[in-house]
Amino acid sequence: MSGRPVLGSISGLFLGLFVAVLLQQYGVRPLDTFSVIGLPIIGLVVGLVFSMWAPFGRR
Amino acid sequence: MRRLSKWKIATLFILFGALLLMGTAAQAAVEGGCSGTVTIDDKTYTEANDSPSNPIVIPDEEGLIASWTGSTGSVIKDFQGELGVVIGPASIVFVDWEGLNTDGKKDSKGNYQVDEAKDQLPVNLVGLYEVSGFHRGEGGDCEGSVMILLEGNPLTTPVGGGSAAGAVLALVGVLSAGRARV
Repeated sequence: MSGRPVLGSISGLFLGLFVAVLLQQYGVRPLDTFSVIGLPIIGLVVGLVFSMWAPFGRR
Repeated sequence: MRRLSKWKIATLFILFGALLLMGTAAQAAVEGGCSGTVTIDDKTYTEANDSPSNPIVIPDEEGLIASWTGSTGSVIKDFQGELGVVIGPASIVFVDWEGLNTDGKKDSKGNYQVDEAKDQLPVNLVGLYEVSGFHRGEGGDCEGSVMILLEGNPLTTPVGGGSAAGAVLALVGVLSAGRARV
């Protein structure tokens, strides 16, 4: 049983990207290599793992 | 067993990311014997303002004057230089210069109206920016970076507001992906 890995991966990728921009906008971290590349990759992995885990809707 | 391997790979990715995050805590100052100062709103900053926790702060006010000084340490002739904003592994150049320096100057200073720079921007920008650049020629080579914080409310800017909305939508997408399919 699993969720939607494609949706999770793409959403996680964009979540990482938007979080990177928000961190820059709020003066926490500039748009360096980690923010622009690392955070979206981490988001993608988290989204993929979360969809594989699929904690919602289990009976 | 197969699922356990995927978890291990995911964990390695996240650990690698965390190490990258810690590794960039220390930033490079200006190298090559050059130095400079800028005074904004009665506060003086130097090339030591090069980290996210110690940036050059530009308040969200009108009529600000930036008084700057610069020194190359040694006479640099037939020079060229540029400044750019660091975005990921690249740098977007927003100003460059070149000259001969036949007078043999080592020092320079001036005043700059911050509003003039803001007027040239297509949209209102806030946030933390790493600005890097160089000044090199016959007799010397300087390069380095500083951190600049443009104060303001991010949610009132197109970039900040759009990112906040995008982050919420992306989070909804991730949560939806976690719904089990029977």
